[in-house]
Amino acid sequence: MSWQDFVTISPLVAGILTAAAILVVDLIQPARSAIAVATALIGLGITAALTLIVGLNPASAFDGSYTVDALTTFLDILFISIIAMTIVFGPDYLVPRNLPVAEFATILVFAMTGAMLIAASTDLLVLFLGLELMVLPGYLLAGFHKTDGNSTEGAIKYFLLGSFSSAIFLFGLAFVWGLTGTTRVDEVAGALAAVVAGAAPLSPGLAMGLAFMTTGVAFKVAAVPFHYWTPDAYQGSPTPITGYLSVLPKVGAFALILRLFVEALGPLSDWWLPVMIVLAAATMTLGNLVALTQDNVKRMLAYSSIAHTGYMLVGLAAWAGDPSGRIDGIEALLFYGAAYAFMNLGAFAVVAALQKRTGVTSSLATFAGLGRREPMLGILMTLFLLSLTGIPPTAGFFAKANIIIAAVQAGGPLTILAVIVVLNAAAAAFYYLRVVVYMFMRESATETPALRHGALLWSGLAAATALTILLGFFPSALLEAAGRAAQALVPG
Amino acid sequence: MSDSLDAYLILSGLLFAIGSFGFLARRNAISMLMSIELMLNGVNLAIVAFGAFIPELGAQGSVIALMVIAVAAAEATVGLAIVIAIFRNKKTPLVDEYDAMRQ
Repeated sequence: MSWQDFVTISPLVAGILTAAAILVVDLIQPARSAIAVATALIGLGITAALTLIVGLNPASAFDGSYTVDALTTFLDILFISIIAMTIVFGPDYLVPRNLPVAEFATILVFAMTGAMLIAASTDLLVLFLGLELMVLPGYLLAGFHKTDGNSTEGAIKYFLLGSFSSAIFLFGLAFVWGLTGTTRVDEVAGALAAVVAGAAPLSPGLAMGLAFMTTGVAFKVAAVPFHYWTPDAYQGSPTPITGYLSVLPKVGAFALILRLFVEALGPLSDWWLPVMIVLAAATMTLGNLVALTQDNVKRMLAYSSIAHTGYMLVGLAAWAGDPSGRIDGIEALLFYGAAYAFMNLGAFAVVAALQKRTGVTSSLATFAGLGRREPMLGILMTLFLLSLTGIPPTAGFFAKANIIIAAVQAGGPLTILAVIVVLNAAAAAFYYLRVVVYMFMRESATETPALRHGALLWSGLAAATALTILLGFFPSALLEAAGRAAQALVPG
Repeated sequence: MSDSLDAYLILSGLLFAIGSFGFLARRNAISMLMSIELMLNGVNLAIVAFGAFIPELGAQGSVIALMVIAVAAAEATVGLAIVIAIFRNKKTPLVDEYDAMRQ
């Protein structure tokens, strides 16, 4: 390992040191959540600064298995912001339930390093290790409230199906490695290009390996029909953690998809395009239809997150199906990931804030009369829900618009997919706006006094709100960054 | 047959299939965990066989197999911790009875 290698991976090292620092600080000053949160935020700030500095000079380390390019920087900054916001939202919910804040922050930062490893890896094995490092802390977080039946129930379902899908992915990886003779993403792409050109035969083992890897990844992003674990894992987890689970592992899995499908399996895009189209259409339609019937807001948001996975898959399909090879689809996918992260985290933060008083459920009835009881929270929730629906001028509107435009540009079967996206967005409006109706037009059955929330929660909500609105009014800055990231992924 | 790569790959595929079947058929959380370990061992057998029979892969096979073993160990640790936590809450290892949230 040379000095240059170390500089290239320094953001990752800073992330791991941050996690360790939180533990050490908690050892010296036990159960002081403010100090733990401060340590975490300082560490994340340093990590972000290092990411931006290292990102100035694209480089690769460790014989090309770890690469820093515009895509890495884009995703790393997104991951760091997601984790910082989750840590800020956490204490309001965790402290009244006597759950440790320092451990919460540590596990989150470890999960972040896993996601960062995925974003930077150009080697199938490193990609797998990053994936495991990202999802293993997620299982622990899902069961974070270990004396609560629902939390552990969600955790075991998440764990069992997550490990099952990891094993499937790994089985595919073993065959792809054995039959192409390499784990490097670019060399796998070269070997597959030779197969497509007819220079080498497609052995049944290789085809099976690719199919297994696709299945494993579909589990990880919770695409229909591999989504069973999602609703229970999301509903059972403590609410700030549900927000995290619906965002970081999903965007992280899309980072894996970009590195795997666009870079390694890019030459085969004509073969996997039909699979992606079917997955995308089924995922968004089923996610939305089931979300319509939910009375629990957390479960409703869980199904809606499945639908959002579908929209993002449309971006991927738009890239693969574009005859002239435009990168608009990937650009739209990246923009969607960022916009979705901030608005969804914001929505879950409001749900978590309502549950500050222990024993409050996340059922729709909890939201009745919220607009009168706590007007500020009601207004913010409305903003996030409008953004999730895709109403201008919010981040969610441009996110959906970009996806639809990219799909229409690609033409062919993608046009039909664009129509399905529009129909789904209309159906989704019904269940998102139903919460707004409850908040402002229904009276609460029981008289509940307004809660007082900490400054930390308000600052986090302010950040989520600012990003949701700013991305709605000035989407071009983020769109340019996403464009550069897509350019780095697909040169030419 | 005993010294061909295909034989080992078929054996690894069988192990993986038995593991998958166990995961889908058994309803005890511990058995499901063991089935996942069996699947990962099937994967490891395939990796080691590729490494042994294809000279161009060199020592890569051993390295990947070691990584897989490490990941499997980490997964088992987390999994058993979660099983213990849920057993304390529900007093049963049977996953069919974890249905508090089903609507």
